[in-house]
Amino acid sequence: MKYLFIDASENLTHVQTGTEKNFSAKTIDTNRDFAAKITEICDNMLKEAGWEKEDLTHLVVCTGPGSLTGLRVADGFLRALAMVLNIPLIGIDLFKWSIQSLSDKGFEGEARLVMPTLIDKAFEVKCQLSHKDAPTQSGGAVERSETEGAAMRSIAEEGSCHKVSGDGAFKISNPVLIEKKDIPSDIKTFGIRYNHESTERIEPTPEALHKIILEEAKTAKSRINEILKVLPLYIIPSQAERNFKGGDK
Amino acid sequence: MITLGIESSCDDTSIALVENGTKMLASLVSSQIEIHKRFGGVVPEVASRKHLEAILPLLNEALDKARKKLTDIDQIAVTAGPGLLGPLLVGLTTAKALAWYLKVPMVPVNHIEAHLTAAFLTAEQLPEYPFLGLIVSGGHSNLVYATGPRDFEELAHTLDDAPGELYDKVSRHLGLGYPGGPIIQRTAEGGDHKAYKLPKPMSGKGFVFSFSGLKTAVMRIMEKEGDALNMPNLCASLQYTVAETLAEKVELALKERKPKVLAMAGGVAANKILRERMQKIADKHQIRLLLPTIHLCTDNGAMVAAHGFLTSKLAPQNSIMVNASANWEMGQPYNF
Repeated sequence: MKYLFIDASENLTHVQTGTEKNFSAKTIDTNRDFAAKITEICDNMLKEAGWEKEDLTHLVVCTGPGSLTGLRVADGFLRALAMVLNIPLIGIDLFKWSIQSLSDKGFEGEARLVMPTLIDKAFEVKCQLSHKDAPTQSGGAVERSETEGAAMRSIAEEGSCHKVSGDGAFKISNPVLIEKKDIPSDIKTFGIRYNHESTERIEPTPEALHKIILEEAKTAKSRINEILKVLPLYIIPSQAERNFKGGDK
Repeated sequence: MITLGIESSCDDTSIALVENGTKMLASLVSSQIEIHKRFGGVVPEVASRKHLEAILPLLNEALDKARKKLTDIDQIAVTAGPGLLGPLLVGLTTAKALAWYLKVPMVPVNHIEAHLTAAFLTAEQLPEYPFLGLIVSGGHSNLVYATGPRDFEELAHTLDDAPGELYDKVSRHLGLGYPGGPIIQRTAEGGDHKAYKLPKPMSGKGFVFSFSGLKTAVMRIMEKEGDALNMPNLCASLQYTVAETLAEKVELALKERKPKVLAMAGGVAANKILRERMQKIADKHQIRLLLPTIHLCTDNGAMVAAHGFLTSKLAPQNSIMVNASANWEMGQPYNF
């Protein structure tokens, strides 16, 4: 396995190459010129890994949330590349990546993850991390349990469950938008690449990413229909869509 | 030499394969008009998302239609501007990935220059220089004197709205819908263009266009006529006035520059009344008129491929590092 990963969800671009055995990660300041430099960045990563393009077996893209333009440039480039190389494209979102990073730090229990947006709002997801009783397969709806608390029942109704590396698992709600000023402080809250008075900053780590990629690669397919499903997370509607209230005119 | 053309500067995703800059092997367009209709115009963020979804399936379809493989492509031409930045970037990054993988040159193409080449592509020939070019679309209204593939002298541009923009706005005010050009043409059928007298903007004022005043004039007629407004007559009068306004400036340029060829391009070049008016001018001045087919009037990848073929030697070696430019003017250097 030889993968190339790009995360262009923020000003800094995170790139990573890896095999089953090891990985190499870099953060590059593209000076808001990522689209111009994308081939140069990929050339350099492959050169450092000692690979040719044709050696790649998997492409991986961060699907956000984040800069819509950055996400789209990375996704557009890697979608086309995956198609012509006839290899799978794996999409990994920042929530899942961050939860794996939390798990790696040994965190267990109930938490909220928040992430800022350009408007005065932040995304919020609720999650519960467990290092035991892992589900037998990733994805799918979580079955409700009488032993779970009310908050977690809410997660079960709205969200899904996923494996983390090892025996662990997490349950996660769908992202919702909240006012930045309303970021809660009642339970442990982490800000993804975000500092806020009531949150602890969490950096999605290359190690966590590598683990997710190895897991996802087991089932990833190179079929064009699978590649086309990998799109940026468009959680916030565009301004025009937010303003639009009428029917077809 | 086979050139792949990629166009995504506004709301049409288009892929084409063109041989030697003159022969269309395939030219496909995925239009987003139905999606943007409800907003009354193109929403850039929505357009970008739809381009991303459409571009690869369209590429596969174009290759199938042309009966070619990716490895048959000798170079990739892509619109790098002007246009909406988000949509432009989708086409540009797809072109970069393909050029990077195939190890073939990527040629950044100016969208407006490519529109003019479309007129020659219809005749399956490369451009003859010099020629007089009229580009009329939703975003542009330019009269240029072309002396080379990237050498243009701008004779006139609009001070405000472009004709296509005027049609969109008037159509919205009349409650007719989007896009305005084709709707106004359909509504005008059977109408009397003399029924409503509209002012001919900038008439007798040399090389300059202005169309926003026409919109105001139409609105005044709407207010004055109320329920008595005759829609076909108003649309016919508007089309006639736009055609006459453009014709006056074209005739002025023909007298001054005396070119042998006149080429018209852009979405508004599909307008029947305007095409007939330009033919009359060409006949009067005994020059050759080149008009794109209706398919090639609107945004398309074939014109991008043809213009990429024409300008490939002018593009810098490291074109794969080029960036999209929302305001890239005709003949201006590539954006790095």
